[in-house]
Amino acid sequence: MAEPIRFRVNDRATSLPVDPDRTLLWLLRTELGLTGAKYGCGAGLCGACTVLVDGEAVRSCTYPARRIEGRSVTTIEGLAVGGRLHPLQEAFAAHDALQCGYCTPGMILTAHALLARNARPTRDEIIEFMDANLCRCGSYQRIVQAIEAAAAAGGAP
Amino acid sequence: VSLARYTAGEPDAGYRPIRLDRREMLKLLGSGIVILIPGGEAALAQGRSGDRYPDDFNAFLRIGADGRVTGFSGKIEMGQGIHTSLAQMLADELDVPLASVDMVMGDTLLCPADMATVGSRSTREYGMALRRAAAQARAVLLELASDRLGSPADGLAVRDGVVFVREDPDRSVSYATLTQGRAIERTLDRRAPIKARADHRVCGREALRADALDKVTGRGGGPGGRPGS
Repeated sequence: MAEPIRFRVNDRATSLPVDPDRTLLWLLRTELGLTGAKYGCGAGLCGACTVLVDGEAVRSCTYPARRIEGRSVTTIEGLAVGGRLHPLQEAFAAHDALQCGYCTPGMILTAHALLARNARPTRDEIIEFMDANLCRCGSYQRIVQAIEAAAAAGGAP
Repeated sequence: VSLARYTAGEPDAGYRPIRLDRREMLKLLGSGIVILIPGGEAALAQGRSGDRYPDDFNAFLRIGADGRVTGFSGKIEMGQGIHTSLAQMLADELDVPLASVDMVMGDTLLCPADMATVGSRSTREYGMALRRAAAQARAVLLELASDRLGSPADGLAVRDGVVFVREDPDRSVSYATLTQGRAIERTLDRRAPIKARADHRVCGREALRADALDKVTGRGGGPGGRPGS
């Protein structure tokens, strides 16, 4: 039996035994029932599994779960506070920045990490930062527009 | 029209007997107006020969006792937006607010049997059948309102789910009141006229995607509408 580790998920203190080879994605999806983070490529390439660890965007499908010990994880389920959507969530909905929605949680959380370090990114900076998040529906234009709108609305955390 | 006579298969001029499996469905749906379309006609609407589809009835929509409209579709939402656009069609044909329309999609127990969600057929084929069902529902509601208000149906109009006398708008009754506790059933035995494009108030205008909030919050609404996918 693996040793329990302590961490926070969406502002709740949690303690769970975690096997050394467990990845964060499956800890979230299976043990914690947080299915907002998606399994896409399984190789850290597409970004559908992106979550925040201490505010940094990480690819949870390749991120060893034990590394969250003592740290704070934010998933898409934890972004709205008290039922109020985060400006990024609002902007993605308002700008139709999604179709099938599979990449959406990862897109929003990656954008969250961007705005945390650069509150008013240029269009080029947005495109560069979001470059490794894939949207197979091809909603890129609207995703960029949504991030611009969220930044203008003071979406930086 | 008597539901009991229907379900017993008793001949009733202009109407076809209902099949037993639909009776089970009606039980599930509870009260409200249910508009049924014969399987053959649904198949026609799909542009397919009848033998390619189950030979049963297909329910397209329900108007609940609370006035909310539920649309049923065997098609699924995979990002193409039909969760929203089919609801828009219902809202337009019924003259109800888009916000009062819910869609149940891809549920094989509740929704009309459908082959697949392919070929850009949802709007132009299923959508047309849905519109006709909604137009028929509206006609039934106008008949009920006509009885209730003591005014000819052709002098009535509908706005936001409320039927009113055109010449005297204070005389009105809501769909919710009309459907309260009643289960009325009709078949589409003729083509109900659908609205002309110029009369659309909801279709062709921007609307918040019905699945957007689920998708930006991680609550569900993934491809195929499955939560947790």
